[in-house]
Amino acid sequence: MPRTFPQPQQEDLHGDNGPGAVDYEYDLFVIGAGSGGVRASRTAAGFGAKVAICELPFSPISTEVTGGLGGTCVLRGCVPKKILMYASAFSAEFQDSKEFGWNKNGDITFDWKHLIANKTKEISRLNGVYKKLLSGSKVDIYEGAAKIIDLHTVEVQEIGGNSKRYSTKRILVATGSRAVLLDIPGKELAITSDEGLSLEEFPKRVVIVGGGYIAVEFAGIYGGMGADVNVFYRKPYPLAGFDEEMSTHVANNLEGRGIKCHPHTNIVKLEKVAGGIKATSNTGEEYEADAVMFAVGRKPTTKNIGLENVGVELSATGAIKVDEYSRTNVPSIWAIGDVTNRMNLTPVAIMEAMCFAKTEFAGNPTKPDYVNIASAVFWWVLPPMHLDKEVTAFRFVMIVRYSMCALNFLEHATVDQCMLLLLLKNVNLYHISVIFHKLTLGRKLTCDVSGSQPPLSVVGLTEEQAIKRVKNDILVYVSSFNPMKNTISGRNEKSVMKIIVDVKTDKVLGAAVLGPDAAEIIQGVAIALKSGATKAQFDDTVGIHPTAAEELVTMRTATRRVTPKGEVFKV
Amino acid sequence: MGWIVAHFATPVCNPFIRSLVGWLRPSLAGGIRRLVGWLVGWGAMAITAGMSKCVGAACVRGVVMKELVLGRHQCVHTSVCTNFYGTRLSVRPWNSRAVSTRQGFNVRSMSATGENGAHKEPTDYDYDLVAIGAGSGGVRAARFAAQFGAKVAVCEMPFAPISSDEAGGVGGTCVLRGCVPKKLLVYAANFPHDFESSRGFGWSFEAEPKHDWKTLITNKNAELNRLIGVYKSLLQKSGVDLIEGRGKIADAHTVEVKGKKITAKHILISVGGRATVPNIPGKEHVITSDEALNLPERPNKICIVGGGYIALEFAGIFAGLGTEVHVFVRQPKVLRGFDEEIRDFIAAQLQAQGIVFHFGETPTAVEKNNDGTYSVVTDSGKEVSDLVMFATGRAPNTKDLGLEDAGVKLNKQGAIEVDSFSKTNVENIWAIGDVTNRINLTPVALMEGMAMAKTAFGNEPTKPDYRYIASAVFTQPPIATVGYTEEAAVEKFGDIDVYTSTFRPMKATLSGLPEKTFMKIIVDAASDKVVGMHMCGDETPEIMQGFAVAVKAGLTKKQFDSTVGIHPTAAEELVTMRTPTRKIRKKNEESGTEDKSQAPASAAY
Repeated sequence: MPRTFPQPQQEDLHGDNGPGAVDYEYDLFVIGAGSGGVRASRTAAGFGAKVAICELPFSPISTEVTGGLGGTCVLRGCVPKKILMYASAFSAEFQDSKEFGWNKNGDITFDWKHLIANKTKEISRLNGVYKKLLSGSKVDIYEGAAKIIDLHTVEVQEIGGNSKRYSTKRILVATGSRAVLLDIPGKELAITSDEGLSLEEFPKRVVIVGGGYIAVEFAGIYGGMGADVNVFYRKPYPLAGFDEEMSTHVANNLEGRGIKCHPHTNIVKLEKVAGGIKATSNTGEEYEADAVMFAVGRKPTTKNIGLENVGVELSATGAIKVDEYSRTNVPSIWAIGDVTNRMNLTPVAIMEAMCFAKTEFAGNPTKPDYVNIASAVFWWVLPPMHLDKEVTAFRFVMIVRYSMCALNFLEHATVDQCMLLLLLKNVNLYHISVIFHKLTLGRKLTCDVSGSQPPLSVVGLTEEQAIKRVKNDILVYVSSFNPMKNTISGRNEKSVMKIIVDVKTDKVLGAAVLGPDAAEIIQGVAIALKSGATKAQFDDTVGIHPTAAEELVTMRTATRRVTPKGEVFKV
Repeated sequence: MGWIVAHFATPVCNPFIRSLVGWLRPSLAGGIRRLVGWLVGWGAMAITAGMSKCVGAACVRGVVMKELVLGRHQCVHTSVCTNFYGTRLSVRPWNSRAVSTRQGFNVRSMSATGENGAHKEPTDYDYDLVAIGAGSGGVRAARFAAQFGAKVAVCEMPFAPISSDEAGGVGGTCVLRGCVPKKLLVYAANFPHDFESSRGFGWSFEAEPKHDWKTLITNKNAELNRLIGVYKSLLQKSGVDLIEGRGKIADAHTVEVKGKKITAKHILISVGGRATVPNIPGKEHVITSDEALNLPERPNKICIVGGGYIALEFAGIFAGLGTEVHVFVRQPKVLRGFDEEIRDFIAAQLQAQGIVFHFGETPTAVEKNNDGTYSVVTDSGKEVSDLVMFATGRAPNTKDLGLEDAGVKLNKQGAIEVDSFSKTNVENIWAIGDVTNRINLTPVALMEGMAMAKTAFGNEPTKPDYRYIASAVFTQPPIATVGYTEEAAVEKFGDIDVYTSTFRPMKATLSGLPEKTFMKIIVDAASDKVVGMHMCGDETPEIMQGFAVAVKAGLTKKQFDSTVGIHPTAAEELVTMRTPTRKIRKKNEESGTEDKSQAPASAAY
């Protein structure tokens, strides 16, 4: 197997290639069969490597001893969540159908158990599909808890207690992450999204703590099914990090669908009371609920897999530290997906997996292309594009270096280019900022979808980010309209679409869609944005009539123009 | 002004020299005037040579001369042109003629008569523009022209749900008898699918939901009335006068409405089209889409004649609401002109819903039976139903419009012939939308309306761009398409890569319904550009719009692939198709043989 390391000296560290190389049972041993792990093992096997994968036994709720082929996305994330969302969206459809002439005499009932049974059936099926995919790719599957013993040995402890050791040339950690609980009195009474997708009884009263997309999604799910839902979050709006204007609309829609939002509020205590759980907020108010869900974040799963045995370095947040080829500090160990806490999205884990397999088993060193999908995190830590005159060139380079190297978001060449640039005499800060601006803007896009009802999806910069990061004025196009279906159904819910454009370059920097089918609508827009499409190109496109999406290509007049200083002008 | 570049890129340009001679040989007075203008223009060119951003038409002449002398070319961008007589000069006719005929300059249009444009000069006309027909195109053109400062009137016939020679309504076909009411009915027809799906998700109904047609039609009509109001107020806010009545052209500058003559500098014909029924015995018994959208009650069984998108959309509407539907298609397949795979796919989907297709059957007569039912008679038999609808085509509304009097030319199909700026053969008469039978879609009429207003009143000659126009068919499931079909792409590009994917939408995994989604991307192998996309499945019209931007912008498959998917959506499939299903290569240009190499479709996971 030819191997090409981008830094050949690492090859020597291994000393495992060429004559006298140790014979390992496997070329690759993967710990964790989620989206990333499965893709990595299948792709590696496809390149001819001998691959094994180990995963905990299947259960809808993840623990230290349960998991399942398919991982978070398939068993406890994207897929079951979307199934529940479909189920919950029907209630609105039934309401809407009335004015379209549909009479539903008699009761319409919803059976939670029926849904959960069908959902479990479907994810079990998918679990089986993954098993088949793996064995079809000639990947050995082990069920049990895997532990790294040394650089080239993994021990699998089966459910029965039997344990067996396997030698392997490389180890890939793809163990993902798990939801965390807030550390408050009574936290053991709370559930996370795992349980939320598999509750035995339908919770008629729900308290959700958190304002992120998971919290908003579950509020929509339970609310649509008829539960009384209270959502608590610290920020003034839900979905911090999304476009603020869109977030306010999301909050409005939640309220419009009967979900009670409590901004600036924390839950500080949980108590068991007769018939439920009592949640106390920091304002002293008490809420009784059948279920209290924490949607306050997720943590990489790095415990009990023997990372300490080989000295794999973790970051301050507990994620495995990796370089841009997903290598850990230990030469024979790699890590991908949520456990590395880079961008915790299924398609990103898949991309990392493919790059890993290509690099290690196809002699084709490939880096995951974060340049094109940098997360919102990137924008939070990147210093403002505006360079004060006081900022020295040196400091700027340090900032650039820090941003790029620490976060692995830009290729090293970019830093070198910046350095080279500084060596030229007649280069001033303005030039650097322009070049940096060019290198970064328009190429970094984050595509994110929140499954609130109706959904919100965004791509590129939010308005706030654009104001902060872009040197030029921006034009903001906002269109808020009544979707055609609502004209008959009478549903009082506006769809909102937003496009942010750089005045000088005419490039579309960001787009956001709130309304039915938003997630489907934004995918094509994402391609256009990623390829640096201009507003003129949007305008050149003929609409598809009658759709909601056509609004995106028919926004002729900007709603406002905003300067980098944040001054707003009517256009 | 691209043609200028193209023109001068060739070293010796005979037509150009000919035109120059023609230009230097005008009538004496005008000739001297122009000669002076030309000299001044050349002088001015020398001054403005360094700042060549936007120069007037006079400078264009300067460039022209400079070209001759120096033998090199320079691109000149002209947006607002002022010549040296101080009046505005439109370069549109000059430019357009040059483009279309390649015969050089049109001298007449070069003269500074200022006959176009919305400038404030006293005219003898009542209006700068009178549009006949307040449909999508007419309203858009009128509003834009008014924005450019023109004095505009639109005439439209009074509202009735069913169009005739006396009835129409502000909003036109799209709003009153097309896209909008149709989609509202499609929404209604989709609910049973939701009811059915919901069972797998834990919902149950004590009693089967029943549909009340009257509620739907009443609510639909209320919505249409609201929209008419919206359109009227849009016109009013833009300062456009709305004249109710049938507009007829009396002469090139006069429109007659209800016996009243209104004069106009420009006339725009935007009267649209109407459904047609072939001349067969019993044609008086059949309805068209107009009536189908406004029936007093829903038939229990309907025969629909036609295999186009209107026929299929109505088949879906009626079938969804519980009617037994038979569709008669003359061809062996539905949706002629669409991608072959889509044609097969949608037919199978509709058949699975219980719609019966009679392929290859052409109705020869429609008979009324004693019990009030109707029989559709074909070569192969008879089908009895409560109602017969023909969706066999639409024809431009060019009759009795006075077009003959003004000398406006029609083509063989009876559509008004226009140039690429939507101008008819009569200098100041324009036509847009379905009446010109170019691409009969609302957004296209809007584009034509906008381009016409810019050309005639904005001093910005604009041609509608007909490349890569996406469209949708609202069947169940709907179809969305943009660009070349596979067949057309092979013809045009020769070597293409075809990516296809058929999958079960996630919703169907729980509902248990036998639904499938089909997606297809066609890539020009030489340039890697995506030149066609076709899909059939839930939400595909919404999915398509963003992709249409990408395709129109000329993006490559590589750019599609480098976009990270949105999980879990149906649309992510379109950025995760890695392996071509087949590569079609015209190995040997002379013999034109095709090499279809099959490759396995990309894995689902």
